[in-house]
Amino acid sequence: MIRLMIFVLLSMINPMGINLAFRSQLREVNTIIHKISDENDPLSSDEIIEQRDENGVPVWFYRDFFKQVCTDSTCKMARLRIYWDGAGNYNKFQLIENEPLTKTDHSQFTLADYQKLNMILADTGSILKDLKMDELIVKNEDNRQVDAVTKPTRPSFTQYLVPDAAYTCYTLWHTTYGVTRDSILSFLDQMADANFLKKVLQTNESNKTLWGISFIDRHADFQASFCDSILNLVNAANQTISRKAFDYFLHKQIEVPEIQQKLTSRVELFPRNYQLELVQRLSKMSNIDNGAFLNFINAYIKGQLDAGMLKSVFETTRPTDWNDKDLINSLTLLSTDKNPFVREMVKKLPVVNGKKN
Amino acid sequence: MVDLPHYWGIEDLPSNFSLIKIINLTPHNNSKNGFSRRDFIKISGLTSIAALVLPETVVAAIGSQEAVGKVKFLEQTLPVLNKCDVLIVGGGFAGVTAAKTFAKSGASVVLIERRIFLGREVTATCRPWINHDGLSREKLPEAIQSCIESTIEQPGNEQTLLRFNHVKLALEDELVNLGVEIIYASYPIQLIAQKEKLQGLVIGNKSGRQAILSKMIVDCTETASVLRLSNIGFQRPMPGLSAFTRTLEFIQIKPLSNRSLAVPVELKMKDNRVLIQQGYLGQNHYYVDCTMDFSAAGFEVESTIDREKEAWKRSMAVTKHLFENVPEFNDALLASSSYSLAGIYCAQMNKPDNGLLLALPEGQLKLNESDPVSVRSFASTYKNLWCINEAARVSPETVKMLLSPQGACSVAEALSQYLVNNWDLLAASGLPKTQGLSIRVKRDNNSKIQEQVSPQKGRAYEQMEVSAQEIPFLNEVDILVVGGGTSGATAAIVAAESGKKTMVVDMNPGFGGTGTYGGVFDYWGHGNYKGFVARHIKNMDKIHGYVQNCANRYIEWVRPFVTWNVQGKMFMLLDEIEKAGAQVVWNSIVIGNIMDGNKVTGAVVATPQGIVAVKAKVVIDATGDGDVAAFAGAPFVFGSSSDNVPMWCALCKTSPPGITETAFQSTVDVSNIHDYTRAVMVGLRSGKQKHDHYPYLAPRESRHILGDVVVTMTDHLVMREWEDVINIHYGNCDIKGYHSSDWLRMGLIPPNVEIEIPYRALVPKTVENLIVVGKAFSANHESSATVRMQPDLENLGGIAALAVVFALDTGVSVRKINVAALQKLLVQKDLLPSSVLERNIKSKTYSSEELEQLIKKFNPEKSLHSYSDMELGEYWTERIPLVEVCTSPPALAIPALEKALKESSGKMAVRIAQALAMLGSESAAQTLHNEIMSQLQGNKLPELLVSVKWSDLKKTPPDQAAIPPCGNLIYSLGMTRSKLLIPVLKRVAEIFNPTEIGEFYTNQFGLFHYIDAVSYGAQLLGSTEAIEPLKKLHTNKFLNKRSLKMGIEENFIMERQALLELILGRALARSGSVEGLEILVEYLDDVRAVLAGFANSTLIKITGKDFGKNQTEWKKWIQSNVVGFKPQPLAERIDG
Repeated sequence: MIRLMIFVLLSMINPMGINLAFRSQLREVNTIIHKISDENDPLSSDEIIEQRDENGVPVWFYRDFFKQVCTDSTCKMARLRIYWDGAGNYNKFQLIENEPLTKTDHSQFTLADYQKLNMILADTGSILKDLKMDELIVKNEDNRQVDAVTKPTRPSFTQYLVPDAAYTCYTLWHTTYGVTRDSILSFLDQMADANFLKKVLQTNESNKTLWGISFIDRHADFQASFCDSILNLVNAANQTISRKAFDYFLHKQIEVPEIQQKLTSRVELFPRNYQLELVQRLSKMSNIDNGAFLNFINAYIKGQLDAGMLKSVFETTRPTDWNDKDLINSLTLLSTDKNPFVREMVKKLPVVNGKKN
Repeated sequence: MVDLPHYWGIEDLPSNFSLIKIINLTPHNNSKNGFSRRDFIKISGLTSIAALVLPETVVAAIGSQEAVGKVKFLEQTLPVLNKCDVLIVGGGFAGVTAAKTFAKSGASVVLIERRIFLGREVTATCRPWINHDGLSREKLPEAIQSCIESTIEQPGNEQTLLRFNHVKLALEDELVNLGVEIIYASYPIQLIAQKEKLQGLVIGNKSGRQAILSKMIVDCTETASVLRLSNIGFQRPMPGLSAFTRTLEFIQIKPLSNRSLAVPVELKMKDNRVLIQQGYLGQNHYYVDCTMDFSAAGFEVESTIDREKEAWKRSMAVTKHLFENVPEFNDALLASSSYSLAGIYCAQMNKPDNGLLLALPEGQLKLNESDPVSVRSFASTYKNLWCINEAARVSPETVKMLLSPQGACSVAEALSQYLVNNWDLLAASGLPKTQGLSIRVKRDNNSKIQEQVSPQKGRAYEQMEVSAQEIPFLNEVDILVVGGGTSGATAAIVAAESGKKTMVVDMNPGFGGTGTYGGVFDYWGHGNYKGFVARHIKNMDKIHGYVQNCANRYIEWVRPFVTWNVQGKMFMLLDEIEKAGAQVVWNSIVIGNIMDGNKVTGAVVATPQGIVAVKAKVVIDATGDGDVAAFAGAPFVFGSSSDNVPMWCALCKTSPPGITETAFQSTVDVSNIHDYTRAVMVGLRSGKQKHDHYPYLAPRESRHILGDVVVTMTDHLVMREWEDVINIHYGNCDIKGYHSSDWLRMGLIPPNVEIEIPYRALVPKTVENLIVVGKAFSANHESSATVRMQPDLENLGGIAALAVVFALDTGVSVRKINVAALQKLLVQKDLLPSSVLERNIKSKTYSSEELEQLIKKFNPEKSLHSYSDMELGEYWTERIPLVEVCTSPPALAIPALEKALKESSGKMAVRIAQALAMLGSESAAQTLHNEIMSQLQGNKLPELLVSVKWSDLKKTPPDQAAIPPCGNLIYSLGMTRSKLLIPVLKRVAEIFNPTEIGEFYTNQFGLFHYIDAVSYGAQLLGSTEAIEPLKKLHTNKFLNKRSLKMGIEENFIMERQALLELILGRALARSGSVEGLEILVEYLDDVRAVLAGFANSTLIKITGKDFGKNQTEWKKWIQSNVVGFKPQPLAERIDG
């Protein structure tokens, strides 16, 4: 019953939609076994199982654990299998039939408890990250804030934990984000070459694409060849991918004039908040590429950029060369623009109608 | 025998008191104080341009009745707050959309809003849903689209559910990203006009008045606040009935299938039904629309407030009915309710001169196929003043459209685009000339109105001359209570019940201040529950009979203290004020005082309907910020005496609905409108995923108005008795923020003591007819950490009202009342123990022998902070030996301590050395130095290992004076002014090496206090030898270049690091380093006003010069004084 319940639960929350049938099919195609050495956890399996798709891109990883999970006074062994997705992010856990997790009062986890535990394990920035285990519960001498319950969870932490299962949550979170995950990330790094990265960026799956962009960000050798691919991702329908791709350029790449040109030549395709961030980022540089500056003006003239954004460009950035002929021509055109505010903006620039202001 | 006038509850007085006046009070009779609707107010509703009124119309009415006189703002200069192309007034959906449209067109835009949030049609009315009216969700206007969250499960395509907090943030973000400057909590006051075009607007707020210069103004307020300042005039309100809706938010309702519920006729709901709307949280979250018909009595101040008050009452009756009769509501929690009614708040404006209208370019807004609207319907008597509100001369269908968020957006977008397209013809061609930058504002000494002259001390603003302005009187009262919060509401009840004609003005749409909209929902375990507090508790018990006491139901640990439902408490206070017969003026703020010499004789109030004056025989300043007293020129200290840093402020979050969370993390200078707005925006971003934030920024601390006496922490510790005690407060030392008390520095956190409050602490120096209650009374920064507890301030408000009534009835000023007689009354009212009437107060002095005995009682095995290890409700009654010794005359105490030091060793010697240090004796230095150096031997600064009461190791310093013990010793060593501090300072600089910002987040590491402790010592020492190690500390990346020049900083820890950089800068400057001065100068233009103020006041103190916040001038001075700049040790330690 529990097993069925957990399976139903995990299917619901599994963002990748993996089910047993699908898994068994993949298993026949491409299953890799990685041996690891985990001295601190000798009871758990020393194998990480990886499943790849037909392109050789990892779909998921798992490892079987046999962990000591303690309540306040007693410890119990728990068998479970934890899954990570193809980019090393926590995906789900499974338990062995008839071996449910239990709580301080020895009651079994409910469906809601499993759901909450799943959410806790999915939270990479959980408060559990920096805590020591004994900080989770109220010590007797520090028990002034709650009614007299034996070693209750600290009130301030209860929203982050399964009720009466603080230690379990703690242990499993640190298991999820421990040695196994580090190993998976290491496997991924070893796999990465141009071909692999290309396939990863084409998956249109958030986690994998995010991993791919991060990898390229860390490895300059790949940056030139993947510039256009990542630029295309800025306009991806998937917001997470789009954001990551955009941030990739804003982080460092933007300091290169060619990148400035490439980004600004597509400015009309960006949502307004991206446009603003782009201008704000450019404003932190002493000068920007003339072509990039002109791209903004041209986008306005074509009706693809609003005057408010053009104002931000004029007020916060400076082109490399004010005497550039194309720039002067464009500004001259703007000085007679139908928008009164644009005409005013141009008046405040160092150059209008070919003359210095 | 003492003659006593009539007081609230006077029937309890013993028979041996002779009463000089008996009034037969009928407690629930509204008209008993002459405050029936008809004869209550003798006011002017008419402005000075009444001559222009058309026969069938009225001009911008403020009050409803005839004038009895006027008071005048004289012609004068005002600081120019902003210059812009377009000024949008009102931040509803129309205002936001107009601002966006103009900003996208490249205009510079400023938006002012009297509330502290945007999206009125959804947020203020408590109606977080959009009915699509046939549009698909994707077709809704852009401003609404931005408010939609993908995470909310929507009920179909007919309606969209919203979350308040997201709406507020999304709209704010949209504007900020477009470069629109937002100014909150500000009211339009006066137009700046030249011929047919406006050139700007005068606004009023807690900072006084300022000018905003603009080429065009668009009035998007529901009250047509700007149009009322013009000479346009309005149609008479439509006869018949108008529907207004007050909406209640509930959680914990069992699923409801009906969209409406029948209610009894006596509840006076429209069609005897209330409508049910499901909330975004799902099956137990509902809104109940209480729609009521009101006769269209008018849109001036009183009738608007009367309508709102009546709506409160009727909707609470609905709450009671639902709880008692509808099973699904049996467990319901009333979480929130409307701040404003949904309905029409202004009449249609008149048609301006035909010639002016015809001169406007024609244009039509195609809002729907059948009913194109002429743009001229939105025009006023000025070519560049337009409205997007219900004052427009449009059909009832278009008015209906304007009332809905999406309709308001559509009209605003279309009209704004028209205004952009015709800008050259409509807008003022330029902005008026100003008088240049100046720190000081010129004011006419003949002015009867006194106000704050500049939003920020020391900052130069351009100055603009504005014409004189007459202000009509709204009323003349005996007692004007300014602020209806913790103290003010009780003061108003008591004053009115005592038979005095009373008015209470509050900035919020409900009473209670910090105790309601501030997010405090309990008395915790502090304070005295007697007197007026006992009455409030009893009243709340009745209300909790049908309004769930949320605190008891929902918080994780049930506090064994008095708690309340915030909505219930607001209603209880309103009900009591109403029954007492006080006039209510809410949603309004006092921006200046009417003065007669040094006597306060009234106030100038900014309301949504315009500016009015109120005459009063006595004013009770219950603003909590001492606004009235400060405007009147009373001396005050902002925050702490040493550096003007207040405790943290908070914008209360609610999540889930009705459950409050306060997070006090940043500072605010409430008297600075820039900073006020910034703090609101920071607060709103604290808890973005929360359900909502309350509409009131609660500062724990701001001004302390100085009376003839100032209550200090030392008074608490010595349990000082005062001849003129009028209230007894009780609490723990709840200091949330930076402190400058040497008691706390040495580690002594006071226990939970009773604290006597002298009457003189309520009466400001130099100003007459004024009494100050609330947290702004004369107690210093450290004292206010304890004396500001809810029940004590409630009682204090009532006591102050009794004192004022006493003064009025006996014909003496509030300063000169017979306090002994007042005390007798307070004893009768169970507010003071009878012992205060009989005691003979003598100051305790100790002989040398007694001091030696006291020193022997020092217990070094117990940490000094353990005095605070008390449960709430426990009272400390003993003398603390260390305090008794340290407050004895140094000539006696120092020799006794020195003798004991010689005879001691180990921990006892250290404790004695700390006592000596407290007395400033250098003889303690060697002992302290040795102990500190032994603790600093490791390669890490010693941590705080044991939690301080109420501030565990994980909390963020500075908080509750939780300091690592080694830090306490360094502070003590600093107090000796010994050069032995230098090696300690060098050692701290060597091992202070945080690498992650996270290390600043916890008390455990104590980093904040190590920096502060060595800096404090360096300040007192004033030695060039301190420069090098201080500079080394300043090189740490977390303490360097922390100044913020623009925007807002959401992460409060950055502000604390900036404060540390300032502290280091001050210490460097006192040590004779010009670099220290340069650090301070760098902060003069910091957007966080408290930090800028710290820098400014410190520079003045150290250099003796005052260049305000002009960095150029300061830099010049520093340049020319590099040579010869000498150490300047801090001469005086503050009496904490």
